[in-house]
This record gives sequence, structure tokens and C-alpha cells, in this order.
Amino acid sequence: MHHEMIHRNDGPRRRLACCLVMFALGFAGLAAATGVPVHAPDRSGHADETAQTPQAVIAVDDHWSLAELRGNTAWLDALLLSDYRSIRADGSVWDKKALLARAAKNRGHGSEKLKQFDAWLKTHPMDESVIIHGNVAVLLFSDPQNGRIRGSNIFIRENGRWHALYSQQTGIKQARHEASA
Amino acid sequence: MNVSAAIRHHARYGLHVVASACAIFIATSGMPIIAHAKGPQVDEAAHTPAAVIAVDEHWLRAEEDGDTAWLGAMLLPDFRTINHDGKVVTKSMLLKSTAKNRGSDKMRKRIDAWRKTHPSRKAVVMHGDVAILSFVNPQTGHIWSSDIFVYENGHWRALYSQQSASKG
Repeated sequence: MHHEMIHRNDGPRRRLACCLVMFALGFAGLAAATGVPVHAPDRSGHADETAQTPQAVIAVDDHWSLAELRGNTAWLDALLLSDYRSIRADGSVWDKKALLARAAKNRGHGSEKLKQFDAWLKTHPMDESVIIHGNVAVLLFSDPQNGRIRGSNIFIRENGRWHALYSQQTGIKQARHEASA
Repeated sequence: MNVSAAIRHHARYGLHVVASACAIFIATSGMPIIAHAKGPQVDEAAHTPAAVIAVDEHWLRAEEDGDTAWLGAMLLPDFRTINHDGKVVTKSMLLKSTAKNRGSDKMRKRIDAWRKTHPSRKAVVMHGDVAILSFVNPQTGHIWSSDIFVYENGHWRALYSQQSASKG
């Protein structure tokens, strides 16, 4: 059995913010442009994403954010397990298909989305902590000011890679609202 | 009684009422998920959705009765539960609040009152040795909370729980 936990607060994190901003924008006005290749490299750093470490989990999560922003559905499809689902703050459910469909709409708007992200994240910093238990990892996003959890992602390591099984947000309506303002 | 634990209890318990038989259903989201209810003689050690639910029901009873020994064995060391506003309850905090339920039926009464007005159902998604038990509002399909279990050495053990902001 392997337990490991780290905390990281070296700046804003993208994954949860991605959910928030994408929701806030509603996706309605996004065109399904094709300017950005599906397989565009969107890794955010140099961490080994296949390692069984908290750093790898965070690296995968960062990659996830960028893939979603850029509409890299091929990578997302490989990351998300078939029964993946994301539970939003109000309890409603997004399944894998819905997430991929939304991500596809970002193709061609990657740069724009990243700028929006970065702007939003400057005013909404988040801490991350990772719990690893065997081949399962729980990535937690928290408010650095009060320690409250804003959301979490559950990953499973299979065949040498981390895959996402489940995501859930808590009461983050205020932050989401702020993002859309 | 820890408020977070109480809410989570309520969610779990309310689901026990509706799920009176094993069934496969399609959730509001359109994704097929499996729902099972506790059978009269479910083997909690089995690698099945029914066993996950049985363990969860045992969990509820253990908290109601203040059975910290069983609870301490079932919860993994890093277990934590996140309530709807993001507050964190660790294993030690949960055990401490559970101990206060010994010899009291206060918690049980609260649950009984709650379940009368909150029909709900539960759904289990299994992926290898990981199971996600979700508590669902049957009217909206929205998730109230989920428990993440890991199967180790022939037993299901809880790693993580989280509520959404939905109050049902």
C-alpha cells in the first residue's frame, strides 16, 4: 500500500478553473473552428505523466486543462475512462461524451481561452493536494484562504498511465459567477 | 454531531428507502449506471455493487451506533469527506463525532425524519477495485454525494466522500 500526499500552492491551477470558465461561458458562442490541430502538443511542463507520484497526477491534470481548452479530444478521450463523469456544484452530471463535445468546440480558440483562463486565475488562486492510495489518486483543489475544497478529481493508474474516473465540485457557484462577470 | 457527517448520513440513509431491489437504470444523464439495494444477506466482502452498498449501510449503522472500531477499520487512513461548502472532515474527526453517538438515538431520529421527506436512490459505478457510490435525487438525477471505495484484501474500504451543493 502506498500513501502519499503533497500540497502545492505555487500559483493558480487550471483544471478546476477550466470547468468554471467553460461553464460560465456557456459554450454557446463558440464556433467549432479547426485552426488548432487535434494533436497539438499541450503539455504544460516536463513532469513525467506516467509516474506513480503526486507530481505526475498534477501534470496529467494540467495536460487535461490544456487539452480541454484547445479541443484536443483525442487526448481527452484516452484520458477519460469510459464511465467517467463530472458532478457539478448543483449535482448535475456531465458524462464523458458531453465533456468531449464541449471540448471540441474550443478548437481554434485555444489562445483565446488560455488568456481568459489566466486572467481569471490571477484573481482566483487555488491550492492543490494529492492523495495517492495504490493506483488511485485523489486530486483536491482548495481555496488557499480558507482551505475549503472547491472540487476534486479521481484518477486511476492503468497500464502505466493515469486515467480520470470521476470529478466533483462543491459549492463554487460564487466563483463561477465571478468568472462570468 | 458533526454537521457534515450528519448531512452525509442523511443522504446515504435516504437512499436506502427507495432502493428496495436490485435494478439497472438509466440515470438522467443518459449514462447507464447500476443500482443495487441491500439484500437481506449481502456479503460485504464480495466484489460487487451490492456489497459496496451493504458496506455503506453498515457504515451508516456504525456511525449511528458509535461503532468506532468497525468504522476505524473500514476508513482508510487518508480518508476525508468534503461537505457541500468545501469543509473537510478527516477520519479522526469522523471517528470522534461518531463516538458521541454511543448510547444515543438522536442521530437515528434525525435520519428517520429526514428520509420521510427525501426519497432518493443510489448508484454504483465499479472500475476494477474502485467503486463510486453516488446518491441521486430521483426527481432530477442530480448527485447529492458520492463515496469512493477501494477493494483491498477482500474488503471494501472508504477513501473519499464528497457532497455537491445540491440539497435535493
